[in-house]
Amino acid sequence: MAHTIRARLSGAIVTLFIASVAVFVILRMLPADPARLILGPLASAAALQHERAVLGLNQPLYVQYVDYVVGFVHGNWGFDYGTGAPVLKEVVTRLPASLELGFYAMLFAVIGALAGAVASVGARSRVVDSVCRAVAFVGLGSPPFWIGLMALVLFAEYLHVLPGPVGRLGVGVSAPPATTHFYTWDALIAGQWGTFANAMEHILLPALTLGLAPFGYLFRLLRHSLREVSDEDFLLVCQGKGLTRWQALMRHGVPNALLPALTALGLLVAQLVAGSVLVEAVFNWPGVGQLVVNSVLAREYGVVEAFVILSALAFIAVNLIVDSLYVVIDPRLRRPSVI
Amino acid sequence: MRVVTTGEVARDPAHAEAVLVVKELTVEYGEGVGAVVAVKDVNMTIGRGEKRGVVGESGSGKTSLARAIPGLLGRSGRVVGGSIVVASTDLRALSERASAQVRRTAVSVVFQDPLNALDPVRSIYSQVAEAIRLRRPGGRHLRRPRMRSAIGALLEECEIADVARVMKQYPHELSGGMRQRVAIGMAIAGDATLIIADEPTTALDVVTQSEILHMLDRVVSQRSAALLFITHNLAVVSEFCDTVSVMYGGRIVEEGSCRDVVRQPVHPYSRGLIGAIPTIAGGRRELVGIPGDPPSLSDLERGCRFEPRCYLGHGVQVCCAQVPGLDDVPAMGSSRSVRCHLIDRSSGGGLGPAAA
Repeated sequence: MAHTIRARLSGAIVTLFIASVAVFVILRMLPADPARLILGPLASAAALQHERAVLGLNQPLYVQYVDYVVGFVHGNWGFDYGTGAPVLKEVVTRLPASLELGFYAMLFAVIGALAGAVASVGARSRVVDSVCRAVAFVGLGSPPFWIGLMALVLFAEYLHVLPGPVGRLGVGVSAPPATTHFYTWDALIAGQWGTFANAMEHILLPALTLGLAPFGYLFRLLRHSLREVSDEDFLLVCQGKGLTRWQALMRHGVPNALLPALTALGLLVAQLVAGSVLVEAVFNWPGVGQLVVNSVLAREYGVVEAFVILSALAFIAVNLIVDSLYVVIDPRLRRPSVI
Repeated sequence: MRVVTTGEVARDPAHAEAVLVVKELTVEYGEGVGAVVAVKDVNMTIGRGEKRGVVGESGSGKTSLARAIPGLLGRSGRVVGGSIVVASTDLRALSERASAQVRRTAVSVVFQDPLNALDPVRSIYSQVAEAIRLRRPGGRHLRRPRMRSAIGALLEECEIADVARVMKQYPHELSGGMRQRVAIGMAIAGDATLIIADEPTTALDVVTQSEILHMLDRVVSQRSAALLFITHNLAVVSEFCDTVSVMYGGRIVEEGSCRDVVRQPVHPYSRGLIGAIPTIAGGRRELVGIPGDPPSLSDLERGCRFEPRCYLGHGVQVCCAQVPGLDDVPAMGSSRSVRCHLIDRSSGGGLGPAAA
């Protein structure tokens, strides 16, 4: 066990190192001068020179990198060139919006995929199967921002059943008292039903859009593994004990079919982070993804670097959790066979 | 607690109440032109305490028969004709829920491959407990300490030594033999009157095989349950079954008391089966196999399924044109019936080309 943890940790450090170096070098190669961006088009050459010195841009690249890493670890993530606000603070204030969106997207993906797989394999329903496969196909094959745009056109523009891209709440609705910083949860905690409904309305389309690709991936995976498990003898044995086919599938088939899908979770989180950047931009969602889009356009080093490193951290954390979950769930890994 | 009936009365099918009555059972896989008839018009009655063996090659329909009775044919198979009556309930008329209820109380199944018979992510405790909860009256309300002792007693009955340890283990930590013992334990967790064992020892080594067979024999006898024992191994059948049905091409071709059939098989196919077993005592003799392969069950049945491989009937007109009936052979004792055109039923069942 200790060995596994050590191996995982060193792997994590290598991943972080590569991700941070890559983003650092790429950003430095962009033809933009942060000093110019900060001081504006009218700044004098001397002022620019001074600003570069303050930012450390005259130093060799590896010195800049080391400075950056040391600063990052100490919570100094740079500052926003436009407003001068620290990046750390900007990211932290926007993170809950992204997390809430990611949470509902994942919820939709997992529950939808599981329900679809169980219905198409367990109930042997061809209709459900075809519909789910079609949706999965679209989800995997289309860019999420395009799906988001189409959904907006359909539901907000033509049908008028859901609000347009105005953010987390409608105009004139104030945010519920902050406890978890998830508007839907906070509204429930505060008992503000109207706010809850409003927050739900606003998060529905972006969450579905963001969750579509993970749904497609998970559905195909679960459908396949559930099919394989449902041909196993032990499900017949369970039915032989007196469970109905349906009970046997739910009690013994699904847990076994979930195991291979667990590995995919890490991958899905990566997909979610990548998708969130453009989906947030499309829906005007005040999350980290939107911040990143704006920062890329404005050549803001600090924000983009922080985002990439945070994403790498999230990816590593999810994979670590998944690996440990495996050990908890699958006895074959917990106690390897001696026979 | 349980009524232990030994002695010949319970074993004689004529005197015993019928536990299983199968009539004209036909099982098909697939649909339309490619449909395969795996079991065709099988009739079978098993009385309380009777141990019935079913032998045949792979593809003879014996496993389909074993799975059709408890309604576990799976996705592609289905019963298309006939009736299956267990404890005077027609299982074919039942809903999924009601037939699950019958499997809970009246019918138990032990499958062929013990390595896949248990859920790999559940402990032995949890799986046997599930069987007890489902099968035993009041088992649903057993609390942990009493459940533990109930499971312990059950596993001990199946000759598992270190019960406390095995309970905590997972299937992958047990040998094949141990897993089959656990599977049998789950099968006898209730008061099933019919136990179906589908080649329960085929996947095991010979020593374990005989231990498991003796154990199965004992627990079935103690419960005076009926046993339907499916195997391709005639030696195993002759060791502990009372009666035997020989299956070929989805049909029963010979039926009778086990001892008689093994000693004096009548149907050419049974003769082939028995001729293919080496003996230790009988000195050197050539082992006679059966030439050819089992028939394709998707073909239309025109005559006797065995005709192409039969040393008597190959090319004989009646064998090619007409499906023989499963008829009694009075000369061979009370309970023998054989599906063959060519045997002389009056004179001792001696095989002669009567029709030729």
